[in-house]
Amino acid sequence: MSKIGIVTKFEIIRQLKKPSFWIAVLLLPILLGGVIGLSILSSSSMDDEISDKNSKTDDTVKVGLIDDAKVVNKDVVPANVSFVEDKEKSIEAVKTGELDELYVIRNDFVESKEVESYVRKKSDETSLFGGVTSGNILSILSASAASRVDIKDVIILSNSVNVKTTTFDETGEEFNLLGKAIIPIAVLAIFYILICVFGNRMLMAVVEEKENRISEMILTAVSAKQLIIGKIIALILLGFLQMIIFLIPVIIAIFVYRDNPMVSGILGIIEFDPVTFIGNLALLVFSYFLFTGACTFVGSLMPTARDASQYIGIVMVGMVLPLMFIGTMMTSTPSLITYVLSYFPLSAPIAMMIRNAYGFLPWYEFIFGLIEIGIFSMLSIYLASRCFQKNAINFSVTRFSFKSRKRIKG
Amino acid sequence: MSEVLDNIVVVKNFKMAFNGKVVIKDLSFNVKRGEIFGLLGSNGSGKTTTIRTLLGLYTQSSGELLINGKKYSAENVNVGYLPEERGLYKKETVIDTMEYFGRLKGLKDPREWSVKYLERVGIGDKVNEKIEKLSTGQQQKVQLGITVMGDPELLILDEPTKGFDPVNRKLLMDIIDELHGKGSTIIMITHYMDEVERLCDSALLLKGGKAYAYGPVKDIKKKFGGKSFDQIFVEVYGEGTDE
Repeated sequence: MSKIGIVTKFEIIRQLKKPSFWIAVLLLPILLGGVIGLSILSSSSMDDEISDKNSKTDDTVKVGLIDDAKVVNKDVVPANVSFVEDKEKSIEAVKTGELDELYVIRNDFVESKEVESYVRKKSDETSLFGGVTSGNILSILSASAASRVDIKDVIILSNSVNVKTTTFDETGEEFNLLGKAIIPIAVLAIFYILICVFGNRMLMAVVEEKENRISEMILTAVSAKQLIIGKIIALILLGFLQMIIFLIPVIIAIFVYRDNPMVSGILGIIEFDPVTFIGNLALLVFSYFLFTGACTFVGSLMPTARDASQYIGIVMVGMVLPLMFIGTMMTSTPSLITYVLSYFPLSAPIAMMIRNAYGFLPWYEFIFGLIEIGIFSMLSIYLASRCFQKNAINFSVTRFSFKSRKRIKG
Repeated sequence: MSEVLDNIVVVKNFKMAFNGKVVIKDLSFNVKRGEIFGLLGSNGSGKTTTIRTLLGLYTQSSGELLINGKKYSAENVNVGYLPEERGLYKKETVIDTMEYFGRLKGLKDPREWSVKYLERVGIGDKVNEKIEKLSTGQQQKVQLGITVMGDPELLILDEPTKGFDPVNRKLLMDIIDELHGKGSTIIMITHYMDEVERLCDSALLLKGGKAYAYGPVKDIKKKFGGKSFDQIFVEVYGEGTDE
């Protein structure tokens, strides 16, 4: 095995042995999975509950109705609903259990738009308000109204009309902006997670030899270039491992909950565009190289992780800056800020990924951006290697230099 | 050509300055193959700078520093270096650390070698212990083990006995003797003059960025009228250090 391979293997194994690595790698997917799972489960149970409650418009529920406003059509009222006269007595009947529900439609219904509802809480019910839903009376009122007017008018007047839009692009093809963007945006999210999780780990990996005074010993066995390249490869591979670890539970969750209305709703609108997806995947890989190079470059200049972390903030800000201008970038007529963010090396990865995800990145800009990110990643990795060599035994000087020759004891 | 064959280390007209301050003015010396060479001087005289430059950790202002006739590269020559600034991967186990260095130095079975070494130096039970759990002396034994791995052609020891108790100092000396017997060349930086007299074949006394005295130990002693190295050191550096 080459020396670079030995360094890479050592770095990967020691990271995998660290509990802190697994905490960082697993915590986010677990938290995210937990939140999404809870939201799916709660949406399912809410749907079940609603459908369960609505299904109670059957004979098992005894309903009393006082219709002072005369809005209910007696012909559409279900058999379990009885018209009553005395409000106070009927309320008592609910309290004693003779009635399950009582609805009072007062004379001022048109002005107040209110229906009073009295419901007896059942021992097996645990909902916050203790009663059944308003589904019973609403369905009675809807049926009564529908019996008097044309159902089309009811739909229009009830503001329940959905406008379903189909957009065509310049070539006449159907254009699904959101659906097309979901997968590429997921790629962008993965990149963002990677840089958040790995930034400090990269710094630590680079400055560790200096912090622990190992540089002199190790640099007689391996060159600084081999050492830093081995570390960079290890960090890149660990990043991809993190990506896989993150994606596996997401894919499993999607498969398990594929019939859930929320999941199937999202899956229904997703449109897989291989060109955009591969484009963002390429940007992700190149950008991760750039980020790794930038982090190792900063780490190689600094004597300690603490010193380095002060400067790594600049890299992080540059990387996430485009998120603040996301609205500006989601347009087919780019502004000056869009161009600046797209071509400034640190902000280019996320800016390019956003524009590509929404289909606003022309192919020539994509190629240029990819080359630019590629060149800057190679440059940052080269500089990191050079600076690591020059500053390898820079144990205490925070001021850095490409030609660091510090005063030493001898 | 014969200079390269005879001498493993050749230093010619070496000059070094840090931020305008000259540390080494003009230094030339050779280290013969198979000898034990003492690099001596007061604090700040430039001993460690010379070694670091020889190993490519610093770039000289001018001059040539060669090992086996070439600028140092880990690929060209097996050098064991025990630096003055010592450290290890604190969170790693002893065996993983030694195995890593062993692989980098090209050992075929670094694990087996390390276990044997650790048993020899009396810390065989610490094989799977994390470095941070070891005492300073035990950590120094691990560092020494890493330094002598693979029977290096050139062994450079910067204050090797610093912090060692007499028992461990003897153990270290035995290991140095053993390596010397196998043909390793040893450069030793030390402040213990008895070690110089007992072990070194030749020595160099650095003063004011130059070689104040250089040659076989017996010749240096002769030059100073047969005085011991302790007396020579006091005579040469007694008027103040180079710092």
